[in-house]
Amino acid sequence: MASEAEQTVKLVSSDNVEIVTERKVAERSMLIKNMIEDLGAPGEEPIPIMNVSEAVLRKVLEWCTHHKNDPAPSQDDDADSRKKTTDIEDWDQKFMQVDQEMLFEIILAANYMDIKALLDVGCKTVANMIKGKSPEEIRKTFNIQNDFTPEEEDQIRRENEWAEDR
Amino acid sequence: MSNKALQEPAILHLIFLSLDQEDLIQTQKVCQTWRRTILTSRTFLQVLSLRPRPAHFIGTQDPSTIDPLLSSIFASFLSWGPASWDGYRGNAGPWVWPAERNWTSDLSQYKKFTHPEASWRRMLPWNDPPPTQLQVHAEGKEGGTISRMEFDNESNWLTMGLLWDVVENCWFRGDPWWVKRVEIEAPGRERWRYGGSSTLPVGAKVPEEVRKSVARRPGRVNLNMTIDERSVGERREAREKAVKERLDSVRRIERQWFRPCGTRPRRMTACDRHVFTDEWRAEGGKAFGDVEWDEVWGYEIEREEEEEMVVNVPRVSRRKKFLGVLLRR
Repeated sequence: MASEAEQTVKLVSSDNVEIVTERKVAERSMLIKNMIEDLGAPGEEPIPIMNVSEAVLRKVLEWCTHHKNDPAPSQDDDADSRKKTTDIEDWDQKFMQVDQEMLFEIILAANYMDIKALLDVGCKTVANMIKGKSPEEIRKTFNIQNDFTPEEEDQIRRENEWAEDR
Repeated sequence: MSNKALQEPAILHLIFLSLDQEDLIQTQKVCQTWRRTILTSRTFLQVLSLRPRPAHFIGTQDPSTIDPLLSSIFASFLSWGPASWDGYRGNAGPWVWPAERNWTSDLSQYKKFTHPEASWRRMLPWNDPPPTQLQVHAEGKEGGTISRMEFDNESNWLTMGLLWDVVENCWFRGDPWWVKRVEIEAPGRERWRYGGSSTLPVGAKVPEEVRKSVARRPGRVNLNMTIDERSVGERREAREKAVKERLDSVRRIERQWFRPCGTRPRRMTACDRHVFTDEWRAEGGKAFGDVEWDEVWGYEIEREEEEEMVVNVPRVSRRKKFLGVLLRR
């Protein structure tokens, strides 16, 4: 039997494409890690990643490969998760230079596959796109409908008018 | 809707965690889901200064630090020492203070600002950490009152609206202004740079422990007020005189300095205007007499010729409404 470092696992994307990857890489995903532990015999049974398409899965695995040797996140990180800085390391920044659709697919995949560090990077990237923008600019950037009722609009105006045009 | 991720509260939460106060204010105006996500989360309400912040929250941890947004508008209201009516100098009343930003230069702006639903009313002026007590000491020549309100910072806390209402109403709801001087002491600031007077007058008839309890202490916001002892007629006269002087000086400045240079006459700011008209009185705020204090102490100041008199024991009342009329005489 191969040592754990060389073990591979088979993943199946939502569009039924089989991708073989290093076990260590795949285990950046807590979902896959738990599944492997449940299955007992890694490498033989393909693991279905039901909500993630091939293109997105390959992109996610690219990130996992680069970060496969990162230390496991400590519990302290959770308590201190409110970091105002949106520092993203260079490699991740380049990695996230994708179109918006892909960016959100990656975020959803990271959320589904339980890859906290990737989810964080994705969310920080989106936060950086929000910063310094007006509500209208934000809606335009992300193609969001203004779904407030006229009453709600009024309420928001009354609450916030004082701080505008400073 | 464009994409699922931006309607998923758990993901939105993670995204919004990286935003600061200013960006969150804009973000909660984007759509219903975003607004709900922000305004139902304790964390975001804390970032917005709408809830007390826990001690470990990222902040300056300096109790006298004013919320940056409020500070940009109420800077002198919150940080200047004694403000007085008498001289009509720059800081001549609470509503002048935001006016120095020059965005309350007309009445409609002012009405927007003082709207009862304006979010600044619900914000905490100090939040690193939040104060635990507000003490208002109104001092006159013959006596005074000490009113206190406790904040557990779980179910109640000191909002900018309450602070504003107390000061504003002391200043303006009286007829006219029964207070002639107000001073705000930030919580935790050890020495107030303008002197301060968090002590009772020498002759005040109060038990020793009350006298001691009045002093400054960390976590307490002190409002020290001096009651205007003049009669209503005298005060009105003084006000009219001051208003006239102010008007004259504005006109003089316009004539002497602006017209000859070919520039436009100086536009009147709220600071100039509010003293001329009662229009500028705030609407919808809580009147001073409606504020429920946890504790109100009244005291008299002993006079020499009354030494033989039986000393009135100060009254203590729990949850008693402040009786502003007592002080107006």
